[in-house]
Amino acid sequence: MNTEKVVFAFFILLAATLNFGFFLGEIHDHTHHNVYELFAALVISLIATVMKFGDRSHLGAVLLATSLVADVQLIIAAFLWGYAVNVSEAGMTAEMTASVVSMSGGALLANMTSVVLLVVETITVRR
Amino acid sequence: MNYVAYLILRRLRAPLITLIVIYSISVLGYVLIPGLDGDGNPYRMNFFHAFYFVSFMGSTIGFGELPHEFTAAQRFWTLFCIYATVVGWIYSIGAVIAILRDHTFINLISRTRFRHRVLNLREPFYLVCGYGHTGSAVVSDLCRRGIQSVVVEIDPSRIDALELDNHPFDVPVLCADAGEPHVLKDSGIEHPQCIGTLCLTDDDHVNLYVALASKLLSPDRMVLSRVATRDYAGNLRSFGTDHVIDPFETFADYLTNAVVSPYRQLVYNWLISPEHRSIQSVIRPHKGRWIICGFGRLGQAIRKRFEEQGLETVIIEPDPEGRNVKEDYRVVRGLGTEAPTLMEAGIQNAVGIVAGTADDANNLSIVLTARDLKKNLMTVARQNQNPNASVFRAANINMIMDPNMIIAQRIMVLIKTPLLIRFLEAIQNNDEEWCQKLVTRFDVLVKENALDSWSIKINKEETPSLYELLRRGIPVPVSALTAHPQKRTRQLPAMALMVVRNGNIQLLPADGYELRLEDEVLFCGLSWVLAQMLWTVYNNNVLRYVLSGSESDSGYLWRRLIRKQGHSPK
Repeated sequence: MNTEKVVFAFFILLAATLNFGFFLGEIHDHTHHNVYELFAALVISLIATVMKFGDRSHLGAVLLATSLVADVQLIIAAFLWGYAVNVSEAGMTAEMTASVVSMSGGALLANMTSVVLLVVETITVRR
Repeated sequence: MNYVAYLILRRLRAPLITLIVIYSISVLGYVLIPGLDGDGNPYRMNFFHAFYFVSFMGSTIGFGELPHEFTAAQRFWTLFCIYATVVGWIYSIGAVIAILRDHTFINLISRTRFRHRVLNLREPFYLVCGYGHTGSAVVSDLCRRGIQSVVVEIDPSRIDALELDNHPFDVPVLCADAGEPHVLKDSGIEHPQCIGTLCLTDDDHVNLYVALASKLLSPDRMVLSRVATRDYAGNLRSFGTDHVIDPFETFADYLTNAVVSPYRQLVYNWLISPEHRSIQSVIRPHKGRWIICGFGRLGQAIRKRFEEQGLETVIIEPDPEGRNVKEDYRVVRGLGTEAPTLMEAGIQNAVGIVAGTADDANNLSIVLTARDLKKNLMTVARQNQNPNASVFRAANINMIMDPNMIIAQRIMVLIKTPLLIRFLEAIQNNDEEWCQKLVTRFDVLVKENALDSWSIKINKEETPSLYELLRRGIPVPVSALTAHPQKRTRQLPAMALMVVRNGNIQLLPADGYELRLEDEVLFCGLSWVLAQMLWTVYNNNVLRYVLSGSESDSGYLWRRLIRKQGHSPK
């Protein structure tokens, strides 16, 4: 068993599951989407990205790319949320909530790709 | 791929994750801890405010408490966060600096730089493995001739020595084991501009490996290797190593020549070594009893050759059984450093002594003791350690065997022109009288100065003007090339040693000897003559002047004008 791989897989999966948890619910109802969950998803996604640094394999490069996509999507989602609450006079409208959640939906897709790649890599390891 | 970038990223993982974790915990803390706004109403910071506060707190500390004055609970948390973020930053910055100072990282950087420098070489170069005394002599000689070299050396102190040696141009150098395949690859063993591989490390096995790799990757490239044992010499030759140099065998040849045919040896000496001996220094033939102290590799090589020449030898060896001395040899047990041993070996009737042990102090002692016992003894000593050179020189020994110099000289001869080696082989068949005449001619030619040698091949690329004339059937004698390009009646201080035509050798061609296409001519003389000679073989006008004495029309336009005038009357 490779400890590095365990930690690696843990963070990738955790990023995907947190993201999924945030994404669940009515798309325009902000009470269905927890801001702490978005925060956790963003932090874990960032950690997962850093853990992919310096991997010279081709698969490692693709994993880094998908992770970066998830980061960008989540940061935009968090920015939109912060803008709606603190700056916009309208506050957290249904449209704004929908934008935030759809952004996190995009991140979810990227995270799912990471998970699929991870599974593929695991299967190809013969023992 | 760029290894350096990957290494940095990999090392940055831990510090970056630490920072992310510290920041996220701090932000989360501010969001969770309740505070009071200006009117005393309870409120909670949102993520936006918390991130804003943590961001400036982590780096600056002291913007004040935002957006409202903090409660005691928030201040407790702030205290924790201040220390956590400061420690986090110190750790991360420290980690980055540690990467920059890391040994592997520095090595990787210099390795990458070395690889790029070798890759970008646009001129022919020699790959020199091993920068010992031999290597440094060869590299500085190559530099002097304007030939690029690339050095691989395992010992870092020798790398420093190279930097201090102050070569006129940049020599890419790598501190690594030449016995590793990727090291050889990085040093350009597959590079199309690599014209030769010189294996000069102390380790026969590494030399063998490098020679093998070079021969496999590019069979036509010249490979030269030094060697210390006979097994490896045979092994190296077996797969076509072009030149295998065993310093002991080479020196034994040299010494035998000096004893048996001193003038031929002098020809060698003048052509091979830049500091040649004067013609008066010829050592009278010393045919008679020779005492050989130490029956190691040198002793055995000398004994074998002396036996072939019918010279009487006595061996002094502390451990005859261990050295497999044959029973019919005359052997005295001992070191040879004391008078009784030398007397027993019959020093009174001897003409020469070889101090060939592996210990420099013993060798010097042998020579000095022997000289005390008998005057007019020819002394030969083996010098093992380079720092002892000055002591050996001071001892006034007739011949000093310095393995590093022997190998370096040999290599320089090969690099100068391979024809020289053929010439030296060819004169084996000539007698002493012939050699003596040749040395006298050398002496007239260069006097005290160094005798240089070079070769010229007559073809379209190297000698365009000469090629053109010969192609049109105009005879050119070999003496035309040694005539002064500005004053044809004067001869340059150089002479033709040999002409190679279709593989046949003509030694010392006469002045009127007519050149043909594809001939290769070996010259010797003062170094500056080469530039003058190239002038003649490159430039049509100079060649025509040298041949006929007329300075004719030169430029294209001028030539057309002249031709028109010449034709118009008809």
